[in-house]
Amino acid sequence: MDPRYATFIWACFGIAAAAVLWNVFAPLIERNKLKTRLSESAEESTDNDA
Amino acid sequence: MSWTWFHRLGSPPTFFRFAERVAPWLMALALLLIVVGCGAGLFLAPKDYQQGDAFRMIYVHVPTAAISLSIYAAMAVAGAVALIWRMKLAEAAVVAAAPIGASFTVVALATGMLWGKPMWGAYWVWDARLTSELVLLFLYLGVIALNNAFSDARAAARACAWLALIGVVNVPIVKFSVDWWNSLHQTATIMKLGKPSMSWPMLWPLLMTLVGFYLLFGAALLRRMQNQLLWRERNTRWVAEWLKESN
Repeated sequence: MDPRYATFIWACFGIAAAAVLWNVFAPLIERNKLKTRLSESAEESTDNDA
Repeated sequence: MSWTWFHRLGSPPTFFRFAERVAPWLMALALLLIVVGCGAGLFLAPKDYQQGDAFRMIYVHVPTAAISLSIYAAMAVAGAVALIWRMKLAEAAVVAAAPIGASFTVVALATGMLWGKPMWGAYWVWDARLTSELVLLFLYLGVIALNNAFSDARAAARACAWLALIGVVNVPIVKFSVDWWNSLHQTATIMKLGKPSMSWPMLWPLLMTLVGFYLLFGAALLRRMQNQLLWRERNTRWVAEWLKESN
């Protein structure tokens, strides 16, 4: 690869890789947080009912 | 032809189960296409006769730029459906698509800047294409901010739908800016009527990454819509049952 352009090319693919990984993992992390929150609120409502 | 399957998908629990089955496969196929397409673009595609190796940035710049426009157009369609038919899934789609669209717009702008420096001699020029793409990013950020500004999810989604509908006027401006005004940015290479002006050894990796990024959007959208539905329907029986099953 032409060394004049290598930094630009690798930076370009690096940014794209970061965006791809963010799009893969961010929804999964958000779901885990949501699940914990929903489970906690479900437990609280069960405790209150008891 | 029976359309009952399509109408059933409008139901949040049915859609949730459908997304649960489809999203992992879409994601796997998307990643495969992106990795193979980028690898081929970096190592197999021949050099461009004018730009040399610098043209390889096309393999991430063009797909992300194209999808940044498509996502906003899709948000406008979903916004219209949400406003006219008050469909919960369409509301969830508008809100869920915005962060994905914003991420691809950031990549399109950043990779464009990295390509601009060696080719034009500047990272940024206030060119019609670059400026209108930056406006697109602000529209995405506006939708995200608007969604966070409301405590009521349905009111937030309706406000976002209006912004998506109003902002969609920017999409043809971005697309045709290179034809309407004198621009440093080149005109369409692939997305044009007639034959693409790229040779096949350069074109096939680009088509792979293009399809890969669209599939990635599909998978990420399904996942984010699922999260939206879980939160909006948190007091319903199906969410409680799903919680029990998944714990």
